[in-house]
Amino acid sequence: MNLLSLIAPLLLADPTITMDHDQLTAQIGQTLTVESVVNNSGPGVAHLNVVSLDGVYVDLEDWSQDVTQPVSGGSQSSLDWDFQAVNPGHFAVYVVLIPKNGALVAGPPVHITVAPRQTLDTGGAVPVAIVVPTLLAVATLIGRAASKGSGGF
Amino acid sequence: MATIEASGLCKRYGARNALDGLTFTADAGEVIGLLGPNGAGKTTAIRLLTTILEPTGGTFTVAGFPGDQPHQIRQRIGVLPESAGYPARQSGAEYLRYAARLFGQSRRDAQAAAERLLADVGLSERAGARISTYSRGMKQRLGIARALVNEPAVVFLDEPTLGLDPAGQSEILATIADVARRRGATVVLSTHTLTEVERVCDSLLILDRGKLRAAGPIAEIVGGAGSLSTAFLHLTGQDSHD
Amino acid sequence: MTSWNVVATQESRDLWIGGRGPVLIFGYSILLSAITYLAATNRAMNFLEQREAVNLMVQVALAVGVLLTVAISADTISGERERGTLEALLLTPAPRRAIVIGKLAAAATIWLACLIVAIPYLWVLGRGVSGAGQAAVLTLVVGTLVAVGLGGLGMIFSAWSNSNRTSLASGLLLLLVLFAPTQLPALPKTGFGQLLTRINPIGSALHYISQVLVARRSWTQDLDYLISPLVIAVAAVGALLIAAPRLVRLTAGTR
Repeated sequence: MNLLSLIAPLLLADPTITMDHDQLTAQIGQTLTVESVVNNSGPGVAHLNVVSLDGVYVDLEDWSQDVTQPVSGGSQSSLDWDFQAVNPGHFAVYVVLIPKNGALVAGPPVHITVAPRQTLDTGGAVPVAIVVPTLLAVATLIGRAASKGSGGF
Repeated sequence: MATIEASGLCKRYGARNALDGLTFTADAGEVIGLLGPNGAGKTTAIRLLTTILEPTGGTFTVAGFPGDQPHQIRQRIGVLPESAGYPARQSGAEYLRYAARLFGQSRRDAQAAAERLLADVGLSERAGARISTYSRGMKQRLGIARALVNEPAVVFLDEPTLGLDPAGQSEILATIADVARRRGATVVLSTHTLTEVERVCDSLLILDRGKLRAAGPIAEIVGGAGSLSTAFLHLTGQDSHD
Repeated sequence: MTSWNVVATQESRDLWIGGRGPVLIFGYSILLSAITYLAATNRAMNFLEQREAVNLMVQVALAVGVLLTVAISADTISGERERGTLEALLLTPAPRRAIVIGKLAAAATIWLACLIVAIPYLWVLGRGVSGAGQAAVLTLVVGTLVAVGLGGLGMIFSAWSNSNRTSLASGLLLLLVLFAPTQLPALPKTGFGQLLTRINPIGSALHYISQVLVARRSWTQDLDYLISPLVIAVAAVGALLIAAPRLVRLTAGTR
């Protein structure tokens, strides 16, 4: 067995993608990070994609502004992906490798369940929005009157 | 003892000589008039002696300190600048307290100084009123009070009666005479009003276009001219204009 | 009490008692109220995650607070020149350095007031996610660096100008130049785009704050984004201290 026969499987091995999670849960609006590792690839581009498993329309731009990253090639390339869960429901997030030569390679999906949430409480916000300027207006008027009316030392 | 000594004091802005070789001395308790037409260099002379401007030539001492020790000089002088502005929203008392605090006085001393000085210049009744409500004469009196807040050895007053009615002018001149007599301070009074000089000054400097035309006691300067007015017009070359 | 303290106390009194401070802060509170109301009620904006709403409030508070600080500091020296009150101040033995530091400290009080007024809004938007306290401390630390740095620059403009209008216009132009890139929709996050964010004290401060508040990174993770706010604060205060005798003069320019 010569050296070539030893490294041949390595040279001829197909590129693969692995993810650090297979399942995640989040609340709407939460920012998540997943890591993908691309093995045995040549140079290319990795692309993140999000698919709704409930049939809801997904606007990828809302989830992340950085959905492509260059892959330099080699035995192992690690890539971090930050995205925000902006819709409630069930989703699959996956990474696709587009090599310079050859066919697309898709990684395993990360299943994400995003729970909905009533984010802001209108009832609490309105009193604050009214009371703070009112207090400041009263303080300003009192201050003005006091500074005009002050006499002597 | 001389409280001001100036020797060959010059201030040049590019090619223009704002002040050219001012030399004089002044003693404690003396009121010295700085007389000259507009643009004669009176304000420049005061700004040099009060360390606001740096001279381009010459030397001077004020209150015993040379011109290269501005911090020491400022501790011992009081100044009413020409066309002084006043913070409209402060009261007269607050204005004086702040000035006294900047001269290192404690809160209590600053309060006492403000009360005393406002009484001295007849502003006690309006002590707490905003300066924006003061008349021009009241503002000038407040300015003089501020100039006295640190018990100065030398007081510089630049056109203190400018824009005042005759009664206001008279009040200010009486205050100036009082400052020299009671406090023993040297007063440098810059003006272009001859009657003011005749009324309160012991000696006189006449400036014209940056140059010193005459210096000495008023009687000496008047000499054979008959009146200060004639002598002034002659020395400043204005008698030949008509 | 040292001279700078005396100057700072009086300047603060002038700003807050009968001065512009209370009116400016009232206007600022109206703005925060409007944003809070919209964030809480508008359906389109209700999509915001709570931490994002808190972050939005911090960004507005920082932007407007810095704007007001620059506007106040741009008036400090040129304004006194215009009103004819600077000569009397220069005639006191107060060192020029004490004058500039006192004035800068007084101008910075408007920034602190902006922060204090923002706290109830942060609290109401951040209830339940314990983000308000963290946001307030973060705004205090990061915002103070930016406010002091740009306020110091505003004061340098003020010292260089004989006219208040010139110094105010210069200060506002500087803010506009620094704010504009932060509003670009998709500044690249690598290479030139990242450099632009990092060298811009406002851009990097806002980025750092959002990383901590929204992306929930730790305070130390993106600390290098605070380099430019820190540099601008140290440089502006240092320049004021070193050049104070040349800057604080009766007229700008020649002596």
